[in-house]
Amino acid sequence: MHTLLDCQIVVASAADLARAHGLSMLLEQAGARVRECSLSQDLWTALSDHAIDAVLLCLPEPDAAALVLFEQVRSQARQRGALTCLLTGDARAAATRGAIVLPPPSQGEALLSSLRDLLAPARRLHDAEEQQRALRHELERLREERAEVAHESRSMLSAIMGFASNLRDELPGPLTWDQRQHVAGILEAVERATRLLERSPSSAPVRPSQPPRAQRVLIPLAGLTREVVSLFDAVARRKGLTTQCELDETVHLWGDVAKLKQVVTNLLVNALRYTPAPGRIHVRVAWSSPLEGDGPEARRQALLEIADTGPGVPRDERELIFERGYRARATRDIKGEGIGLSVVKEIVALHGGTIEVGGEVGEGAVFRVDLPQDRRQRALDALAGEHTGERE
Amino acid sequence: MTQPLHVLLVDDQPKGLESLDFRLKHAGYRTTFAHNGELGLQVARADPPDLVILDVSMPELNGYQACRELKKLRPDLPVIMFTGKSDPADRFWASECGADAFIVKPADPAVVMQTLTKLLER
Repeated sequence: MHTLLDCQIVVASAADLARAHGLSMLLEQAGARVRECSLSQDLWTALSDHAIDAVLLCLPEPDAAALVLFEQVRSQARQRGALTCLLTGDARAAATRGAIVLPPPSQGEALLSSLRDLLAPARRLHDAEEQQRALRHELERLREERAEVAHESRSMLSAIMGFASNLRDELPGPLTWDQRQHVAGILEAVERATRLLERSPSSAPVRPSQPPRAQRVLIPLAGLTREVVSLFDAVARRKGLTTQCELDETVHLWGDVAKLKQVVTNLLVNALRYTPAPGRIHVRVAWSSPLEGDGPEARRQALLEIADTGPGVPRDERELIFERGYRARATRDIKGEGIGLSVVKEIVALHGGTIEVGGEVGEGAVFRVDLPQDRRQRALDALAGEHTGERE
Repeated sequence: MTQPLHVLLVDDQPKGLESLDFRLKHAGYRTTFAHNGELGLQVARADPPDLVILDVSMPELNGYQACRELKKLRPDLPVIMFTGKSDPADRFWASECGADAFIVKPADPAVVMQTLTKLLER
């Protein structure tokens, strides 16, 4: 079977549209999702799609200009991790440019077979990525399970320690020397079990003198946001949602890259999860008004805003949705743990920022994150000659 | 004669705070038990406590939500979160909800008593 199940293929043709259409049908019968376009702006728009697997260019007579076009397309497609192939009557001319030439559509089986073989490495990579995602999910589940076991163990140890301590302090009445030895044995065992629990990273308590800290570097917020948004392009399209970005490239702030990526990811996943198709997600990065002071001493704030056309958040739930485990009334039937937004709030607080949700019920939610740039820190680091990207 | 101070204990586990209850009574406090956050709030409205000891993971209303509601009821009411949750994020949430102290289980009840005494003196 020459199946191309779920492969996304762009078929671009200069003139012979009927032939290209025949090719598209052949590919669709093999399970591929095909997008037909002409060699115009359409093609470049199609190439901006991150999800495409292959571009098939139908150039019956590949003259020099056509081969230049082929190289441009190939270069663009490569950046998206996609393969570019030629369907041409002059295989020799094409071969001089290192082009992959496919058999003509009249040899359907041979064409599909070649294409499947060419796409196989990419498919393997895709499968490996899927497997990695599944493993990551399983790891997360195990981590949660371990945290739950640790929590329950702590509660049980607490009860044992409580009763044993009452006996130790002779609250119910005086003990004999032997009884005191037995109670001491119980308390010692509880302490050992507690130490064992504290060695487990998921359950180790944080001492008050060591609050959680972000690893701060100077971050271009627009670039970070764009990177995260692009990861979800294909998901958004599959769901029938369009994503628009309005990113001010000058916005920089001191922060923890991984944690801020988590903020953008969680807000975006939230919007993707709760916005019905056809819908729109608008992502904005900008400077918001100064936090305090004027002139060079003023601390500016970076703004990250993610707006959707979902059900919105009623006023009485606008604080609650950031609490751990809370699920908004309107979206309780949709799969989710109610953890994502609480994590966002924790990270934003760690960066000294604030988060709020606005928008009208029935029209959509607007999540607004304000993060202080911490300009004074940047100025100090600049004076000390430190490099961007170094830890604080 | 002065009235004994009233401590409200909120935990969904029957044995969770029983030993502490015993110790508190032994030290002359009056105690009331509630087995979830919602019941805790009802008790706090009907018979105002001088201090609350709250677990975090509970059905109906969890410890964070209960703490927030208790503080709305009386902002100066001392609240101790006493929980098996040891994640830094839980400490963050406890302070977000206005809790005055956060103690991770298991803890020596003598330490809990010290914290309680300090908060009541305040």
